[in-house]
Amino acid sequence: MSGSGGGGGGGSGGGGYSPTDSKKNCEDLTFETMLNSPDPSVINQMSIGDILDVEIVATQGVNVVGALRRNTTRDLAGTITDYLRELLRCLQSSNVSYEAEVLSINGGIVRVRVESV
Amino acid sequence: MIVVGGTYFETCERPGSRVMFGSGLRAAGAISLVAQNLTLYTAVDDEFKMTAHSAAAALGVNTFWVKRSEPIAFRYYTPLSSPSIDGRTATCEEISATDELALVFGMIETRPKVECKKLVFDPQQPREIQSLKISSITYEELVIVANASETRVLGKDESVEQAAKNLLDSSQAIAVVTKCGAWGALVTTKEGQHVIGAHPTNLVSPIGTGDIFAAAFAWAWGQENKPAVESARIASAVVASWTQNRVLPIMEEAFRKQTSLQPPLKPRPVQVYLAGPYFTLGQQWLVDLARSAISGLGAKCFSPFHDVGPGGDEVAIADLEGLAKSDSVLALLDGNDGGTIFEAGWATKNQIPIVAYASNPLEETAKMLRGTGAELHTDLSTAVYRAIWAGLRERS
Repeated sequence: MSGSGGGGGGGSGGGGYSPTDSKKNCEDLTFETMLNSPDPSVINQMSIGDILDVEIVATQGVNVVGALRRNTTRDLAGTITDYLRELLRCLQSSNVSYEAEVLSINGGIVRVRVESV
Repeated sequence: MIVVGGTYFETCERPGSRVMFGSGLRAAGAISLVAQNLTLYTAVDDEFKMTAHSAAAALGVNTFWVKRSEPIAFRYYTPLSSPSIDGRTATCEEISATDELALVFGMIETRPKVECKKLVFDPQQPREIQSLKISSITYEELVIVANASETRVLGKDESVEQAAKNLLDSSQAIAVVTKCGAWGALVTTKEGQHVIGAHPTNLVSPIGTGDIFAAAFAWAWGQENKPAVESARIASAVVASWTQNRVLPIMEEAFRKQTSLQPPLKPRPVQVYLAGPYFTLGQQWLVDLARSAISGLGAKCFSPFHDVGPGGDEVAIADLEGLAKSDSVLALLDGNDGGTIFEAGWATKNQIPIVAYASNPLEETAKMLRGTGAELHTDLSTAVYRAIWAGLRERS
């Protein structure tokens, strides 16, 4: 398909529609998403049902939210960009921790459910 | 290669998502594994700076940031809805960039200054475009990648085909690539026009597909030096690969081999019959949304509510006459409306394929539909796209 357009300069409204401006408590943040930048060498060691730790990882001086295996080397399976603003806020300024349960692995693509612990 | 475009906060209610992307960051993230020496030039405000930097780093995108005056956010109720845009009056410091190859998106907060040899320009103004705003860009070769409504306005013709030809002439571009949603794409060059069919997918997430298309096209045409038609074919395949899982960056295999995709459908005129109740405000909203989406994605929509109108028993024959001329049915099943079910049964008997949408999975009530080959989806975007694709397939 060719696509119908991205988040560019279009759209009809402006300024008035601000639905769930996500004032969710950190404890209530739960969602399913795909891991971005998946590392095949790490994914190959994983199975459905595995629990990954969701933590802030420094990458070239910038904090990213990563999903790490619970092995001795704490390998980075991939990064999370959905609800990123909320995760950064909660991981940096609350006592809430998050984990990601692996729901599916398909050709190196990993779907997880992120929940507070 | 450089990508110049917006980094914006994007939210969607159903299905729920909140991401920091925008055309520029999404496109750069898409090709960060295959583009050589890629840099994204974009802007961000203080409020979202940490989130934006994090998103770019998470996708491995080397980014040059300038300061923006305020946040810009795109808020979708569904991926098929027109977004509401916050921050339309935002401004930013000047963006100035130079490279051999540039993919430039129209931005809300600025008109970037770019010097390049090969330029792929995506206006990103589906509803407001009046002219091609590229006076701040110097280039030797230009390809315009635009959607159908932008092409019609820029080419000053209701016919997309004619408008694309007009735009090619007026802009002196070497190609105009018109994105036509589920229908496919139209590539217009001095040699003629080519249609590129869409690859059907089992899941569809429309937000950002245009950005991915432009990025993949720019890579294929600008970096790999493939002709415009082949570049558009590659772009269409990359979008199909991506929309099923939305993982970024996109793996190199998706750009070079498309073996796992369903073959593209041949674009042709297609009409989708929109069967659904329209007796409450919510039902009418959904019918309007689906109708608008079908039309915007390259198909004609026969909507009994709009094309026949509400009424008594007399509307039945007129509705069925419209159904008989349709290539597929999109059935909106929420509410278990008798008329919708009747129309689905009639379509089944007459071998018109049915794609149905229901908010929640239906077990017993959808048995006859499932048992006779109808598709059932709980995701509206997927249902709409697949209804168009069902109509594009040749009837057996």
